[in-house]
Amino acid sequence: MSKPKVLVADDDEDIRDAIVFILQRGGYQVVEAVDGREALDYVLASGLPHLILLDMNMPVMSGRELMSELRARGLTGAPIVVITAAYDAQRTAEEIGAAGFIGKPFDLEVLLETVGRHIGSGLIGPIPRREPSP
Amino acid sequence: MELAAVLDSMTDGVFVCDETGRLIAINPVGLCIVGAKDLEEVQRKGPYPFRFLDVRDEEGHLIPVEDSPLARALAGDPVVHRLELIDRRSGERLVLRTRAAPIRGAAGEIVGAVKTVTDVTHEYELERAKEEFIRVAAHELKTPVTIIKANAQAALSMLADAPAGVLRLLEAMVRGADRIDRLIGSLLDLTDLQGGILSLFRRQVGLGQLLREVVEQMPTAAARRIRVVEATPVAIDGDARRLRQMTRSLLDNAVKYSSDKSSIEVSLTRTEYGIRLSVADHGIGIPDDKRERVFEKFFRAHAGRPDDVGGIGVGLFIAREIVKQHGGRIWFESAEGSGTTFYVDLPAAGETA
Ligand SMILES: [Mg+2]
Repeated sequence: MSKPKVLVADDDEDIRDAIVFILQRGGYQVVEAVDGREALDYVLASGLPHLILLDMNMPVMSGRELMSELRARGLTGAPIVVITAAYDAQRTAEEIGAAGFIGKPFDLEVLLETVGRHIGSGLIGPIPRREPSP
Repeated sequence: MELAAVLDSMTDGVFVCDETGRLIAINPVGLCIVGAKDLEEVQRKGPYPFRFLDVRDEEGHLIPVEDSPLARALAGDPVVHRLELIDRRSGERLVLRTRAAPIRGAAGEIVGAVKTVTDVTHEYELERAKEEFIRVAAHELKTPVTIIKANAQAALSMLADAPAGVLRLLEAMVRGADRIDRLIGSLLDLTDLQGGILSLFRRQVGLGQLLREVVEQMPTAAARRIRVVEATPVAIDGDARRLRQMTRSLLDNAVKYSSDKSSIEVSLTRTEYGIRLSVADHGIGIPDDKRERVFEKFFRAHAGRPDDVGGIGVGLFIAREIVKQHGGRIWFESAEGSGTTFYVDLPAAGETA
Protein backbone atom coordinates (compact mmCIF):
# COMPACT_ATOMS: atom_id res chain seq x y z
CA MET A 1 0.00 0.00 0.00
CA SER A 2 1.27 3.46 -0.84
CA LYS A 3 1.91 6.02 1.82
CA PRO A 4 -0.92 8.40 2.73
CA LYS A 5 -0.36 11.81 1.18
CA VAL A 6 -0.45 15.02 3.23
CA LEU A 7 -0.50 18.46 1.66
CA VAL A 8 1.23 20.99 3.90
CA ALA A 9 0.37 24.63 3.17
CA ASP A 10 2.34 27.13 5.23
CA ASP A 11 4.07 30.27 4.08
CA ASP A 12 6.88 29.98 6.61
CA GLU A 13 9.66 27.84 5.28
CA ASP A 14 11.25 27.13 8.66
CA ILE A 15 7.96 25.90 10.07
CA ARG A 16 7.15 23.94 6.93
CA ASP A 17 10.54 22.22 7.04
CA ALA A 18 9.99 20.90 10.55
CA ILE A 19 6.48 19.72 9.69
CA VAL A 20 7.60 18.02 6.50
CA PHE A 21 10.47 16.38 8.32
CA ILE A 22 8.32 14.92 11.05
CA LEU A 23 5.58 13.79 8.67
CA GLN A 24 8.08 12.01 6.46
CA ARG A 25 9.51 10.29 9.49
CA GLY A 26 5.97 9.40 10.45
CA GLY A 27 5.63 7.54 7.16
CA TYR A 28 3.67 10.05 5.12
CA GLN A 29 4.19 11.25 1.62
CA VAL A 30 4.32 15.03 1.80
CA VAL A 31 3.55 17.75 -0.72
CA GLU A 32 4.37 21.37 0.14
CA ALA A 33 2.64 24.60 -0.78
CA VAL A 34 3.76 28.10 0.17
CA ASP A 35 0.29 29.60 0.11
CA GLY A 36 -3.35 28.76 -0.51
CA ARG A 37 -3.06 29.44 -4.21
CA GLU A 38 -0.27 26.89 -4.64
CA ALA A 39 -2.22 24.39 -2.58
CA LEU A 40 -5.31 24.93 -4.74
CA ASP A 41 -3.28 24.57 -7.93
CA TYR A 42 -1.88 21.31 -6.64
CA VAL A 43 -5.30 19.93 -5.79
CA LEU A 44 -6.72 20.99 -9.16
CA ALA A 45 -3.82 19.34 -10.99
CA SER A 46 -3.29 16.22 -8.93
CA GLY A 47 -6.44 15.68 -6.94
CA LEU A 48 -7.07 15.73 -3.23
CA PRO A 49 -4.46 14.34 -0.83
CA HIS A 50 -5.50 12.25 2.15
CA LEU A 51 -5.26 15.25 4.43
CA ILE A 52 -4.45 18.96 4.24
CA LEU A 53 -2.45 20.67 6.97
CA LEU A 54 -3.39 24.26 6.51
CA ASP A 55 -1.85 27.40 7.93
CA MET A 56 -4.52 30.07 8.37
CA ASN A 57 -2.37 33.11 7.87
CA MET A 58 -0.75 33.11 4.44
CA PRO A 59 -0.24 35.72 1.73
CA VAL A 60 -1.88 35.45 -1.70
CA MET A 61 -4.57 33.04 -0.49
CA SER A 62 -5.23 32.41 3.19
CA GLY A 63 -6.24 29.11 4.69
CA ARG A 64 -9.78 30.35 5.08
CA GLU A 65 -9.93 31.40 1.43
CA LEU A 66 -8.55 28.08 0.27
CA MET A 67 -11.26 26.28 2.20
CA SER A 68 -14.00 28.23 0.51
CA GLU A 69 -12.37 27.73 -2.90
CA LEU A 70 -12.30 23.97 -2.29
CA ARG A 71 -15.86 23.98 -1.03
CA ALA A 72 -17.04 25.99 -4.04
CA ARG A 73 -15.60 23.32 -6.33
CA GLY A 74 -17.04 20.47 -4.32
CA LEU A 75 -13.54 19.35 -3.37
CA THR A 76 -14.49 18.39 0.16
CA GLY A 77 -13.16 14.86 0.25
CA ALA A 78 -10.06 15.44 2.39
CA PRO A 79 -10.03 16.35 6.07
CA ILE A 80 -8.43 19.68 6.80
CA VAL A 81 -6.44 20.35 9.93
CA VAL A 82 -5.77 24.03 10.47
CA ILE A 83 -2.63 25.42 12.01
CA THR A 84 -3.20 28.74 13.64
CA ALA A 85 -1.62 31.13 16.08
CA ALA A 86 -5.05 32.52 16.91
CA TYR A 87 -5.83 32.38 20.60
CA ASP A 88 -8.62 29.99 20.09
CA ALA A 89 -7.52 27.49 17.53
CA GLN A 90 -10.47 25.27 18.33
CA ARG A 91 -12.97 28.04 17.78
CA THR A 92 -11.34 28.99 14.49
CA ALA A 93 -11.49 25.38 13.33
CA GLU A 94 -15.14 24.99 14.31
CA GLU A 95 -16.11 28.28 12.69
CA ILE A 96 -14.72 27.35 9.33
CA GLY A 97 -15.69 23.71 9.48
CA ALA A 98 -12.21 22.17 9.61
CA ALA A 99 -11.82 18.62 10.87
CA GLY A 100 -9.18 19.53 13.43
CA PHE A 101 -6.77 22.15 14.61
CA ILE A 102 -3.25 22.63 15.86
CA GLY A 103 -2.33 25.77 17.79
CA LYS A 104 1.00 27.51 17.30
CA PRO A 105 3.49 26.79 18.75
CA PHE A 106 2.70 23.10 18.46
CA ASP A 107 4.28 19.91 19.69
CA LEU A 108 5.48 17.76 16.80
CA GLU A 109 4.13 14.75 18.64
CA VAL A 110 0.72 16.35 18.91
CA LEU A 111 0.91 17.21 15.23
CA LEU A 112 1.67 13.62 14.26
CA GLU A 113 -1.03 12.32 16.53
CA THR A 114 -3.60 14.79 15.15
CA VAL A 115 -2.74 13.99 11.54
CA GLY A 116 -2.95 10.27 12.29
CA ARG A 117 -6.34 10.66 13.90
CA HIS A 118 -7.85 12.65 11.03
CA ILE A 119 -6.39 10.89 8.05
CA GLY A 120 -9.11 9.27 6.07
CA SER A 121 -11.50 10.07 8.89
CA GLY A 122 -13.70 12.63 7.32
CA LEU A 123 -14.60 15.33 4.92
CA ILE A 124 -14.67 19.05 5.28
CA GLY A 125 -17.80 19.60 7.24
CA PRO A 126 -20.41 22.12 6.19
CA ILE A 127 -19.81 25.61 7.51
CA PRO A 128 -21.58 25.49 10.85
CA ARG A 129 -24.46 27.90 11.09
CA ARG A 130 -23.65 30.80 13.32
CA GLU A 131 -25.49 30.72 16.58
CA PRO A 132 -27.72 33.77 16.78
CA SER A 133 -25.91 36.34 18.86
CA PRO A 134 -27.66 37.12 22.14
CA MET B 1 -13.54 86.69 41.82
CA GLU B 2 -16.70 85.90 39.96
CA LEU B 3 -17.70 82.26 39.76
CA ALA B 4 -18.61 82.74 36.10
CA ALA B 5 -15.11 83.93 35.35
CA VAL B 6 -13.71 80.80 36.95
CA LEU B 7 -16.01 78.59 34.90
CA ASP B 8 -15.11 80.46 31.73
CA SER B 9 -11.42 79.87 32.19
CA MET B 10 -11.62 76.20 33.14
CA THR B 11 -9.94 73.83 30.75
CA ASP B 12 -12.64 71.19 31.28
CA GLY B 13 -16.12 71.46 29.90
CA VAL B 14 -18.63 72.22 32.64
CA PHE B 15 -22.36 71.55 32.38
CA VAL B 16 -24.89 72.38 35.07
CA CYS B 17 -28.55 71.43 35.00
CA ASP B 18 -31.47 72.06 37.33
CA GLU B 19 -33.52 69.32 38.97
CA THR B 20 -35.63 68.87 35.83
CA GLY B 21 -32.52 68.17 33.78
CA ARG B 22 -32.69 71.49 31.98
CA LEU B 23 -29.25 72.86 31.25
CA ILE B 24 -28.74 76.14 33.10
CA ALA B 25 -25.04 76.74 32.62
CA ILE B 26 -22.30 75.68 30.26
CA ASN B 27 -18.80 77.08 29.93
CA PRO B 28 -16.94 77.90 26.69
CA VAL B 29 -15.06 74.59 26.64
CA GLY B 30 -18.38 72.78 27.06
CA LEU B 31 -19.84 74.69 24.14
CA CYS B 32 -16.81 73.89 22.05
CA ILE B 33 -17.11 70.18 22.85
CA VAL B 34 -20.77 69.92 21.87
CA GLY B 35 -20.25 72.31 19.00
CA ALA B 36 -22.89 74.87 19.97
CA LYS B 37 -22.56 78.63 19.99
CA ASP B 38 -24.40 79.41 23.21
CA LEU B 39 -26.48 78.02 26.07
CA GLU B 40 -29.76 78.78 24.29
CA GLU B 41 -28.82 76.66 21.31
CA VAL B 42 -28.15 73.69 23.58
CA GLN B 43 -31.34 74.30 25.60
CA ARG B 44 -33.47 74.26 22.48
CA LYS B 45 -32.34 70.69 21.86
CA GLY B 46 -33.97 69.30 24.95
CA PRO B 47 -33.31 68.36 28.51
CA TYR B 48 -29.83 66.87 28.38
CA PRO B 49 -27.00 68.64 26.63
CA PHE B 50 -25.49 65.59 25.05
CA ARG B 51 -28.64 64.62 23.28
CA PHE B 52 -27.39 67.47 21.24
CA LEU B 53 -25.22 64.75 19.75
CA ASP B 54 -25.28 60.99 20.07
CA VAL B 55 -23.16 59.68 22.90
CA ARG B 56 -21.65 56.25 22.76
CA ASP B 57 -19.74 54.09 25.17
CA GLU B 58 -16.36 52.58 24.38
CA GLU B 59 -17.92 49.66 22.58
CA GLY B 60 -19.83 52.04 20.36
CA HIS B 61 -23.28 51.45 21.91
CA LEU B 62 -25.54 54.44 22.25
CA ILE B 63 -25.87 55.58 25.83
CA PRO B 64 -29.58 56.07 26.53
CA VAL B 65 -30.68 59.45 27.90
CA GLU B 66 -31.63 58.01 31.28
CA ASP B 67 -28.12 56.64 31.64
CA SER B 68 -26.39 59.90 30.75
CA PRO B 69 -24.14 61.19 33.52
CA LEU B 70 -26.36 64.17 34.36
CA ALA B 71 -29.47 61.99 34.50
CA ARG B 72 -27.70 59.50 36.75
CA ALA B 73 -26.46 62.31 38.98
CA LEU B 74 -30.00 63.73 39.23
CA ALA B 75 -31.11 60.30 40.38
CA GLY B 76 -28.55 60.57 43.16
CA ASP B 77 -25.97 58.36 41.54
CA PRO B 78 -22.59 60.00 40.97
CA VAL B 79 -20.79 59.07 37.76
CA VAL B 80 -17.08 58.85 38.06
CA HIS B 81 -14.62 58.64 35.22
CA ARG B 82 -16.73 57.44 32.42
CA LEU B 83 -15.44 57.42 28.90
CA GLU B 84 -17.84 58.68 26.27
CA LEU B 85 -17.48 58.96 22.55
CA ILE B 86 -19.20 61.63 20.52
CA ASP B 87 -19.15 62.24 16.82
CA ARG B 88 -19.10 65.89 16.00
CA ARG B 89 -21.02 67.20 13.08
CA SER B 90 -17.65 67.71 11.41
CA GLY B 91 -17.23 63.93 11.51
CA GLU B 92 -14.48 64.20 14.11
CA ARG B 93 -14.71 61.71 16.95
CA LEU B 94 -14.04 62.95 20.46
CA VAL B 95 -13.30 60.79 23.44
CA LEU B 96 -14.39 62.41 26.67
CA ARG B 97 -13.82 61.56 30.25
CA THR B 98 -16.93 62.52 32.13
CA ARG B 99 -17.68 62.96 35.79
CA ALA B 100 -21.02 64.05 37.19
CA ALA B 101 -22.38 64.61 40.65
CA PRO B 102 -25.69 65.74 42.15
CA ILE B 103 -25.96 69.26 43.56
CA ARG B 104 -27.76 69.21 46.89
CA GLY B 105 -29.81 71.89 48.56
CA ALA B 106 -29.73 72.87 52.23
CA ALA B 107 -31.91 69.91 53.24
CA GLY B 108 -29.87 67.47 51.21
CA GLU B 109 -32.42 67.33 48.41
CA ILE B 110 -31.12 67.16 44.87
CA VAL B 111 -31.55 70.50 43.16
CA GLY B 112 -29.48 69.86 40.08
CA ALA B 113 -26.38 68.21 38.76
CA VAL B 114 -22.98 69.23 37.53
CA LYS B 115 -20.85 67.49 35.00
CA THR B 116 -17.26 68.06 33.97
CA VAL B 117 -15.89 66.75 30.73
CA THR B 118 -12.26 66.41 29.70
CA ASP B 119 -11.27 65.83 26.12
CA VAL B 120 -8.98 62.80 26.27
CA THR B 121 -9.10 61.95 22.57
CA HIS B 122 -5.37 62.21 22.11
CA GLU B 123 -4.48 60.09 25.16
CA TYR B 124 -7.10 57.54 24.21
CA GLU B 125 -5.74 57.15 20.72
CA LEU B 126 -2.18 56.83 21.98
CA GLU B 127 -3.28 54.18 24.44
CA ARG B 128 -5.11 52.30 21.69
CA ALA B 129 -2.09 52.45 19.41
CA LYS B 130 0.10 51.11 22.17
CA GLU B 131 -2.25 48.22 22.86
CA GLU B 132 -2.46 47.42 19.19
CA PHE B 133 1.32 47.46 18.92
CA ILE B 134 1.67 45.05 21.85
CA ARG B 135 -0.99 42.80 20.36
CA VAL B 136 0.58 42.69 16.92
CA ALA B 137 4.12 42.28 18.27
CA ALA B 138 3.08 39.49 20.63
CA HIS B 139 1.25 37.75 17.84
CA GLU B 140 4.21 38.07 15.50
CA LEU B 141 6.44 36.42 18.10
CA LYS B 142 4.43 33.25 17.76
CA THR B 143 6.02 32.38 14.44
CA PRO B 144 9.66 32.41 15.61
CA VAL B 145 8.67 30.55 18.78
CA THR B 146 7.00 27.91 16.65
CA ILE B 147 10.14 27.67 14.54
CA ILE B 148 12.39 27.19 17.57
CA LYS B 149 10.15 24.64 19.19
CA ALA B 150 9.30 22.61 16.10
CA ASN B 151 12.89 22.46 14.88
CA ALA B 152 14.30 21.59 18.30
CA GLN B 153 11.76 18.79 18.52
CA ALA B 154 12.57 17.63 15.01
CA ALA B 155 16.26 17.49 15.96
CA LEU B 156 15.36 15.63 19.15
CA SER B 157 13.47 13.04 17.18
CA MET B 158 16.52 12.51 14.95
CA LEU B 159 18.96 12.21 17.78
CA ALA B 160 17.50 9.44 19.85
CA ASP B 161 20.96 7.90 20.21
CA ALA B 162 22.85 11.13 20.93
CA PRO B 163 24.58 11.68 24.27
CA ALA B 164 22.19 12.68 27.04
CA GLY B 165 23.89 16.08 27.26
CA VAL B 166 22.88 16.97 23.72
CA LEU B 167 19.31 15.93 24.31
CA ARG B 168 19.17 18.07 27.43
CA LEU B 169 20.27 21.12 25.45
CA LEU B 170 17.52 20.59 22.93
CA GLU B 171 14.94 19.91 25.61
CA ALA B 172 15.92 23.19 27.26
CA MET B 173 15.23 24.96 23.96
CA VAL B 174 11.78 23.44 23.83
CA ARG B 175 11.07 24.52 27.40
CA GLY B 176 12.39 27.99 26.66
CA ALA B 177 10.08 28.24 23.67
CA ASP B 178 7.14 27.18 25.83
CA ARG B 179 8.01 29.87 28.33
CA ILE B 180 8.12 32.56 25.67
CA ASP B 181 4.77 31.27 24.47
CA ARG B 182 3.24 31.65 27.91
CA LEU B 183 4.59 35.20 28.14
CA ILE B 184 3.11 35.97 24.74
CA GLY B 185 -0.15 34.52 25.97
CA SER B 186 -0.06 36.81 29.00
CA LEU B 187 0.56 39.85 26.84
CA LEU B 188 -2.30 38.96 24.54
CA ASP B 189 -4.59 38.32 27.51
CA LEU B 190 -3.66 41.69 28.96
CA THR B 191 -4.47 43.53 25.78
CA ASP B 192 -7.77 41.67 25.60
CA LEU B 193 -8.56 42.57 29.17
CA GLN B 194 -7.69 46.20 28.50
CA GLY B 195 -10.59 46.24 26.12
CA GLY B 196 -12.62 44.59 28.86
CA ILE B 197 -13.06 41.35 26.97
CA LEU B 198 -11.84 37.94 27.88
CA SER B 199 -14.22 35.95 25.83
CA LEU B 200 -14.94 32.40 26.85
CA PHE B 201 -15.43 29.51 24.48
CA ARG B 202 -17.72 27.40 26.59
CA ARG B 203 -18.02 23.69 26.34
CA GLN B 204 -18.55 20.87 28.79
CA VAL B 205 -15.23 20.54 30.63
CA GLY B 206 -14.23 17.64 32.84
CA LEU B 207 -12.29 19.37 35.61
CA GLY B 208 -10.78 16.28 37.25
CA GLN B 209 -9.28 15.22 33.96
CA LEU B 210 -8.15 18.76 33.21
CA LEU B 211 -6.39 19.02 36.56
CA ARG B 212 -4.48 15.80 35.97
CA GLU B 213 -3.44 16.92 32.50
CA VAL B 214 -2.17 20.26 33.76
CA VAL B 215 -0.11 18.51 36.44
CA GLU B 216 1.29 16.10 33.87
CA GLN B 217 2.36 18.96 31.63
CA MET B 218 4.39 20.63 34.38
CA PRO B 219 8.17 20.33 34.04
CA THR B 220 9.24 16.95 35.41
CA ALA B 221 10.96 18.25 38.54
CA ALA B 222 7.90 20.27 39.47
CA ALA B 223 5.42 17.56 38.59
CA ARG B 224 7.22 15.21 40.97
CA ARG B 225 6.47 17.55 43.86
CA ILE B 226 2.79 17.87 43.11
CA ARG B 227 0.43 15.49 44.82
CA VAL B 228 -3.11 15.27 43.46
CA VAL B 229 -4.93 14.53 46.71
CA GLU B 230 -8.30 14.30 45.09
CA ALA B 231 -9.58 14.97 41.57
CA THR B 232 -13.32 14.51 41.67
CA PRO B 233 -14.57 13.93 38.14
CA VAL B 234 -16.90 16.91 37.83
CA ALA B 235 -17.90 18.79 34.73
CA ILE B 236 -18.59 22.46 34.31
CA ASP B 237 -19.70 24.63 31.46
CA GLY B 238 -16.50 26.50 30.80
CA ASP B 239 -13.55 27.35 28.62
CA ALA B 240 -11.13 24.44 28.91
CA ARG B 241 -8.15 26.40 27.70
CA ARG B 242 -8.76 29.28 30.09
CA LEU B 243 -9.34 26.93 33.01
CA ARG B 244 -6.14 25.10 32.17
CA GLN B 245 -4.29 28.41 32.05
CA MET B 246 -5.70 29.45 35.44
CA THR B 247 -4.79 26.11 37.03
CA ARG B 248 -1.33 26.30 35.52
CA SER B 249 -0.79 29.79 36.98
CA LEU B 250 -1.66 28.56 40.45
CA LEU B 251 0.66 25.59 40.12
CA ASP B 252 3.47 27.72 38.67
CA ASN B 253 3.22 30.08 41.62
CA ALA B 254 3.19 27.25 44.13
CA VAL B 255 6.30 25.78 42.51
CA LYS B 256 8.06 29.14 42.23
CA TYR B 257 7.54 30.23 45.79
CA SER B 258 8.41 27.05 47.65
CA SER B 259 11.53 24.95 48.09
CA ASP B 260 12.48 22.28 45.57
CA LYS B 261 12.04 19.67 48.23
CA SER B 262 8.62 20.64 49.55
CA SER B 263 5.42 19.09 48.29
CA ILE B 264 2.43 20.81 46.73
CA GLU B 265 -1.05 19.43 47.30
CA VAL B 266 -3.84 19.99 44.84
CA SER B 267 -7.39 18.85 45.16
CA LEU B 268 -10.68 19.22 43.41
CA THR B 269 -13.73 18.59 45.54
CA ARG B 270 -17.43 19.18 45.57
CA THR B 271 -18.74 21.79 47.96
CA GLU B 272 -22.14 23.22 48.74
CA TYR B 273 -21.38 26.08 46.39
CA GLY B 274 -20.21 23.91 43.53
CA ILE B 275 -16.65 22.86 42.92
CA ARG B 276 -13.52 23.83 44.79
CA LEU B 277 -9.99 23.66 43.49
CA SER B 278 -7.22 24.15 46.02
CA VAL B 279 -3.49 24.42 45.52
CA ALA B 280 -1.41 24.34 48.70
CA ASP B 281 2.31 24.95 48.95
CA HIS B 282 4.65 24.93 51.93
CA GLY B 283 6.74 27.82 50.74
CA ILE B 284 7.68 31.32 51.73
CA GLY B 285 4.10 32.60 52.00
CA ILE B 286 2.81 36.03 51.07
CA PRO B 287 3.91 38.88 53.36
CA ASP B 288 1.04 40.38 55.38
CA ASP B 289 1.38 43.81 53.87
CA LYS B 290 1.24 42.46 50.32
CA ARG B 291 -1.88 40.33 50.58
CA GLU B 292 -4.36 42.90 49.40
CA ARG B 293 -2.47 43.48 46.21
CA VAL B 294 -1.78 39.90 45.13
CA PHE B 295 -4.39 39.93 42.35
CA GLU B 296 -3.39 43.32 41.01
CA LYS B 297 -2.00 43.61 37.55
CA PHE B 298 1.84 43.77 37.45
CA PHE B 299 2.02 43.29 41.20
CA ARG B 300 4.72 40.91 42.36
CA ALA B 301 4.78 40.33 46.09
CA HIS B 302 8.42 39.29 46.10
CA ALA B 303 9.79 41.86 43.69
CA GLY B 304 13.28 43.03 44.59
CA ARG B 305 13.71 40.47 47.35
CA PRO B 306 16.19 37.59 47.48
CA ASP B 307 13.35 35.16 46.80
CA ASP B 308 12.28 37.07 43.67
CA VAL B 309 12.03 34.53 40.88
CA GLY B 310 10.96 36.85 38.10
CA GLY B 311 7.86 36.99 35.96
CA ILE B 312 5.73 39.90 34.84
CA GLY B 313 3.11 39.72 37.55
CA VAL B 314 0.00 39.02 35.56
CA GLY B 315 -0.65 35.32 36.25
CA LEU B 316 -2.96 35.81 39.20
CA PHE B 317 -4.55 38.89 37.70
CA ILE B 318 -5.56 36.89 34.64
CA ALA B 319 -6.45 33.85 36.75
CA ARG B 320 -8.89 35.97 38.72
CA GLU B 321 -10.46 37.30 35.52
CA ILE B 322 -10.88 33.76 34.25
CA VAL B 323 -12.51 32.66 37.50
CA LYS B 324 -14.74 35.74 37.48
CA GLN B 325 -15.88 35.09 33.92
CA HIS B 326 -16.84 31.59 34.97
CA GLY B 327 -18.97 32.98 37.77
CA GLY B 328 -16.61 31.83 40.49
CA ARG B 329 -14.31 33.35 43.06
CA ILE B 330 -10.67 32.99 43.98
CA TRP B 331 -8.93 33.69 47.28
CA PHE B 332 -6.06 32.47 49.39
CA GLU B 333 -4.82 31.78 52.86
CA SER B 334 -1.19 32.37 53.61
CA ALA B 335 1.24 32.27 56.50
CA GLU B 336 4.67 33.75 56.02
CA GLY B 337 7.26 31.04 56.21
CA SER B 338 4.85 28.15 56.10
CA GLY B 339 3.00 28.42 52.83
CA THR B 340 0.03 29.56 50.80
CA THR B 341 -3.16 27.85 49.70
CA PHE B 342 -5.16 29.21 46.81
CA TYR B 343 -8.82 28.32 46.49
CA VAL B 344 -11.07 28.59 43.47
CA ASP B 345 -14.81 28.04 43.74
CA LEU B 346 -16.65 27.43 40.51
CA PRO B 347 -20.34 26.83 39.95
CA ALA B 348 -21.09 23.28 38.80
CA ALA B 349 -22.57 22.66 35.34
CA GLY B 350 -26.14 23.79 34.94
CA GLU B 351 -25.85 26.40 37.65
CA THR B 352 -25.58 29.95 36.54
CA ALA B 353 -23.56 32.52 38.33
MG1 LIG C 1 1.64 31.79 8.17
